[in-house]
Order: sequence, then structure tokens, then C-alpha cells
Amino acid sequence: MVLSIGSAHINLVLLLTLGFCVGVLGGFFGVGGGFIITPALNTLGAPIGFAIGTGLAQILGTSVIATLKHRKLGNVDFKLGIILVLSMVPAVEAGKALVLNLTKLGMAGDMVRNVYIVLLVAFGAQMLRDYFKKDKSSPATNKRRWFSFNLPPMISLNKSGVEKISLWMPVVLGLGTGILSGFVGVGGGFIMVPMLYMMGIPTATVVGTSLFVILLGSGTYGTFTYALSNEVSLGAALVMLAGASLGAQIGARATLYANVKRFRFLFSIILLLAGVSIIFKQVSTLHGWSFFGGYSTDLLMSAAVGMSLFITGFLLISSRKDRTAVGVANGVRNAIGLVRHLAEKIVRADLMNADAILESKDWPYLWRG
Amino acid sequence: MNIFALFQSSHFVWSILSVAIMLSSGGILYAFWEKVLGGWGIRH
Repeated sequence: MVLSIGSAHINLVLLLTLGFCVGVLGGFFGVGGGFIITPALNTLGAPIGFAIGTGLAQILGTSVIATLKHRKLGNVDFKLGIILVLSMVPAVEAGKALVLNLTKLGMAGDMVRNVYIVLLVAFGAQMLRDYFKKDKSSPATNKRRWFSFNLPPMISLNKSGVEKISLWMPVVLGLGTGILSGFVGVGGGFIMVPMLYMMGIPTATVVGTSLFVILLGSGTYGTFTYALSNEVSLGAALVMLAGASLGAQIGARATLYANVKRFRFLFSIILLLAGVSIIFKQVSTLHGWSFFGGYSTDLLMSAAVGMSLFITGFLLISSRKDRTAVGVANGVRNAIGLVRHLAEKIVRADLMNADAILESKDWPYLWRG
Repeated sequence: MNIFALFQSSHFVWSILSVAIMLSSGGILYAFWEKVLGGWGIRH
């Protein structure tokens, strides 16, 4: 069975698998996965506008799931979130307008792919560098530098514990994230999270607020505006969401057993491989070498499927070991309980026979024992 | 753009519907897998 995304017809199982992989990676590494969905759909043959619109619709669904998972934590700074969302909306619109105008000129695919190559390679290389860097200083150490940017009007963010900050900082961040979201179809969390850290906002609030902004800004508004231009394949987005919803649960649970920092090495490799696969696609499109086009899809899907299966396998093995450990612990606890119970019975029986014990003159030994 | 003309266009209604469908699907799928994976005994 196939589903149509614009002029492309993509196998349903392939879409389900892609969604599952993005869900596992997203749940495990805490990223939205838009930067895998959009290039993957494009390398599978979907026109770039449809790839972006459908990717944003899928991000909307997964961001609901992520937000529901965090709803009890109360980590959203609504004041900051609303400023970011309001700044993002016109920027998403501008990003979409840019894509549609470039599509008319026949340049949209090339331009978006170029941006993806830069983003994926830069992000992957940065993660790889951080992994091997010995001095792992917190991004919050940049706080002072950012706070020196004091262009009025100044606002306070009580929930985030920020007393005074220039309004222009979240506005510029929202605009930048929005343009990128509308232009390449990403949620924007990978930009917002480090930037919000640099504003000195606590980690939990950064994650909660970022999710809130992705849900309303990139997800809701992005889907709405691309659907308005008839660039969303809702069926494909729903199929990918079904896969991603299971994958996200597995990925999130796997973090309980794994040292995610160690796995970041593998994630950086996936980003670099995704970048290379888009270079292949670009080469095949620009020079008409279809040989590279085939490799592009294979490389991206193999990297995503391989890593997702690795994480799923890791979860299954670890949870089984965990259950065994719980079983052993329960066994030991039961054995101790049984011994205690028997000991109490013996002591009680001894007390009942206290007279006999006292008469036998053995009682000092009983207490000593 | 005239807001009333926008309302009357099927794309506008379809856009609102798309957002609503994706939002509700996310919620339903979240609840579904929470229950299923809970049944499998994978703790969280």
C-alpha cells in the first residue's frame, strides 16, 4: 500500500518505519526529529514543500505526546513561551513564503537541502566535539555575555528566575527559530534549547518552554499555514505519527537504563550520515547521477533504522535484566522475612517455656545468643 | 486577504481540521501506548 505526498508515492510500511525511528531517536535524545523527517521524505521523492508541511504536521503530533509526558512537571514559563510563539508566527510565515517563491523559481529543493547539509554537519560535528572535549563546562557559563545585551525594553521572567532581560533576546530567538522552522520544517528545539540555556534559564524550564513553543509555533502554526497552501499530506503525517508514538515511548523508557551522554556519540554519527545522504541527493539532483540518489535514501534509512533497533534491543535486554534483578531482590527480601518470622516464633516459644528455661538455668545463654 | 473569503475557502477549513486531527491523534496515541507498554511491564 502506498500513500501520496505531492507527486511522490511512498510505501506505508516505509513511512511507519520512518516515524518509528524518529520517535525512538526523539524519545531517547530529546529531539523533535524534524531534521530527519523532512530530508527523509525529500530523499524518498516528496517535493520539498510537501516534505516540510508533512514534517511539521508530524512534529505537531509528537510535540503533543512530549508535552503530555511533561505536563505534570509544570516546567513551562508561559510568559517567555508566548513571547517566543508570537515572534515565531510571522517568521514561520516568512519561511514558508520563501519556500513557495523558490519553488516557483525551481530552486526550493536545492536551497533547503543546502541549509540541511550545513545544519546537520555543523550540529553533528559540534556534538562530536562536545563528546570528546574533556572540559565539559555548562552552557550557562555564557550567561554573563548574554546579559550584557541590555537593549530596552527590559522584562523580568519570574518563572525562569531571570530578573532583568532585554525583550529583544527572546524576540530575535523566536524570529530566527521561526524562519528556520518555516523554511526547512524543523521544530527548532535544537536551537532554542542551547540559546535559552545561555539566557541563564534552568534546564527543566528550558525543556518545558521549548516544548510549549514547538507545539504552538512550529507545530500548530506551521501545519496550519502549510495546509493552507495545500502542502500537507495528512495521511502520511498520521502514519508516521502512529510509528513515532510507539518509538517515543520506547526511546524515553530506554533513557532509564542508558547513559545518554555516551550514546550521543552515535547520535552525532547519525546526524553526519544524514548530512552525507543529503549531499548524495544534492549530487544526484544537480548532476543527474541517479546512482547517488539511491544511495541517499539507503544511507539515511539504514542509519535511522540501525540506531533505533539498537536502542530498542538495548531497552528489551536491560528491562529483562532489571526484572531479574527485581526478582532476586524480592527473593532475598522474602528469605529474610521468613528467617525473621521463624526467629520470632522460636523466641515466642522460648518465652512460653520461660519457666522451664529458667529452671534449667540455661537462660543467660539464651540472651547471650 | 478578506477574512470572510478565507473562512469560505475549503483550504482554511481543511487547515483547521488538519491541526485538530494531528493534535487529537497525538493525545489518543499517547494514551494508547502508555496503556499497552504498561501492560508489557516496561516500567517508566
